Amino acid sequence: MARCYDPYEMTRRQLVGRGVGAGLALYGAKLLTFDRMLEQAAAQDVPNAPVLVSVFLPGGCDLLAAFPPLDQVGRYNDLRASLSPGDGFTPLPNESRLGFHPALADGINGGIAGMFGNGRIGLLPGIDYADPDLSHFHSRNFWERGQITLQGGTGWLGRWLDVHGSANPLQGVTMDQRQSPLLTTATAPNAAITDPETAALRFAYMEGSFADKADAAWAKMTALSRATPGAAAAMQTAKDTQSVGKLLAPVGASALAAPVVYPGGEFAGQLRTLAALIAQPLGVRIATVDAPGDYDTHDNQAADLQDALGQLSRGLSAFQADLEARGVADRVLTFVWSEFGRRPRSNRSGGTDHGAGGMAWVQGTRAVSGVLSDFPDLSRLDRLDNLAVTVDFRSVYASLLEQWLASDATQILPDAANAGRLQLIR
Amino acid sequence: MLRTRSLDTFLRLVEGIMNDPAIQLYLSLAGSPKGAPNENFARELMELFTLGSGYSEQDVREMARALTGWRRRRVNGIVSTYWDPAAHDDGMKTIFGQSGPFGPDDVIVLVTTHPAHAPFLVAKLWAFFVTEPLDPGTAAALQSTYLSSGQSIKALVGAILAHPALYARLEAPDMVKWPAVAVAGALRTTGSPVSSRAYARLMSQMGQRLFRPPSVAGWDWGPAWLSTNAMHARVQLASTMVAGGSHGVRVRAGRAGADWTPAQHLDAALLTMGRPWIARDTQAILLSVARDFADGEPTPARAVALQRLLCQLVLAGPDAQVC
Repeated sequence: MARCYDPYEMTRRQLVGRGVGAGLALYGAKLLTFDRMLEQAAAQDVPNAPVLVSVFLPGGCDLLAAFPPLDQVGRYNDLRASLSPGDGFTPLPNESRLGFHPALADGINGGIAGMFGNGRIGLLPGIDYADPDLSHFHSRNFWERGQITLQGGTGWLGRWLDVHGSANPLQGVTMDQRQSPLLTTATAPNAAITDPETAALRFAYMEGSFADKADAAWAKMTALSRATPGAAAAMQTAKDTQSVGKLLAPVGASALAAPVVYPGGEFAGQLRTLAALIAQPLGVRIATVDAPGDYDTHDNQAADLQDALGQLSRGLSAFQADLEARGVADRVLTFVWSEFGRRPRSNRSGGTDHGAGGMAWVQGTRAVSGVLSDFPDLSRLDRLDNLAVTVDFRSVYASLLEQWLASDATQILPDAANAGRLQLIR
Repeated sequence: MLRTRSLDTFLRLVEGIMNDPAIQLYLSLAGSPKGAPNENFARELMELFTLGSGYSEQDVREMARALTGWRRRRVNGIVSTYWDPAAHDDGMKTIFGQSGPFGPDDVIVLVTTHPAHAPFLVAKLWAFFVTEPLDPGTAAALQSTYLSSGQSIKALVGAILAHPALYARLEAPDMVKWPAVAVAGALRTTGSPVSSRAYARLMSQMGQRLFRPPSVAGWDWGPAWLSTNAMHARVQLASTMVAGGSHGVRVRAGRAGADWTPAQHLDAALLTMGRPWIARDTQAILLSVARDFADGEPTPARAVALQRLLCQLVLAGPDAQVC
């Protein structure tokens, strides 16, 4: 992989080992000029620099409702009772063993089912970790940080930026108001974007030369160092906010216009903006989006999943078509995941409780397509009556780091050495 | 209910929450019948509200059985909940190693007498008010205050608010203001009414829509409030107020004399914006901005522009984001 130009790399790596506050304070003291940062952003726009997009389905998506195993229908109907469509399953294109939720055919080119048939999706049923914790917040924390210990700290994609990133905040983009915990870094800057066209900092009554003075004043007052984590984060973020506004200034309406028709809604809008940003020479390397809808289907599962999976399918199929129409699809891989799966046996409130053995997929023109892990056996549940775990998410992370980001996984994931690998990229 | 019971005993607060249709509908407690209980409320009651840890998956399942019995109904389009004894599982349950025909009122006693409860609540409330780490001695003393007061939330919060650690960092604060505090605090300290919906929109852009937390766990606090998008919205808060979102701030920020010294300018801006904490090094930079602004001979128009800029920098800058 082409390395990013970064004169402070060694210093920053050393800083990772210190406290966040101390790291930020020292990094803040070694200010890069804005021109230097622009240079770096440009230097980073290596043709074919791969981009990893994370799409999180919050709440624990139900594998069995999304992709029912057609070779286990009898057992499935026993477990799912009224939640099962009975014999109303349609097999995935080119995969007779698996069905799909009807909402997954919504969208351009047959939605997610269509993308599966066109070799754009590598499905990972049964993904989780051994002895899974059924708390949303614990499991989510593990997936976000890429390790099975409860603590704060950096996200696994944030750590990748700390090791391989530059001073360009657009290298890691959260398409949301708040920054994703996946992208929490020790030192590397990153960005949260809702509307690129209004990202520039503007002060009231400051036009012309006054605007320049306001700009210079902000740059000065955000270049100070602070010793404690909250104050240091405020300082760093205030500085990055100005940089993001300047870097996005050239991105106007024409760059943001999509070559395909997106559905309505916030999620589709986030993906449309993201595709446009990826296609511009801005140096985006990692991006995260949260999917809408309620996947925590303790009750009302039928209606809630219809809505959530429909929005997901329409949004992701438009995003994929957009990337392909823009000619950048070969350098974008989308990883779709949820924090756990759901209980095979439904409850009596028309829903399912927290379970194990969830689902994820890799999506893109360079994803290995098909079903990439064993589908859990419905007649061999674990001691808590949950699905067996057939693939550890850390082995998927390690494979993504090595095969897609051409990085040493052991530098990013503490458990990488002991995790297996899957072929995810072709 | 939250207002009337928030400083009561913790048991009374949990009781009020458990019996409230809002949580019963939100966490699937209503419509969790005998025979196929829904685990949603039982799990979050222990994980998020009372214990944090120290329970097993089996405890979750048994507690869900003990909590069965509420149903939901819709009358004239309004959904409410009611207790139906026939839907309650009155069999024996084993929770935290104790066995009995437990029901909802037993559950809230079990969770509030669990040994993990007092440490959990003390640590959670401490972190809400104080950025200094909680040392074991202070933790033990606060747990003792809580337990010896009959689990009074008022006694515990009072002890935290009286603790010297709360006042230890007044010269270098480190608690990131959450959006409601950033917005309401700016309005309150500048004497501004909530005169516009813009404030709610800005709070949402800062990452907090009141009454719409992202999940039952609420928001992530601390530095997690800060993103470039959220910071942009915090700058917009300042510019909105100076531009007229706050009539009083707009009028005061528009008054400045061409003969004002940099120190007078800074002092006026701090006064107008409600004197948020601004570090000495930042004040020095703001003074230098004031010195350089005139580009030679100051004019009344330039003085007003400078004052408006300083007002915005004071409220929008990084220092004003912590308290």
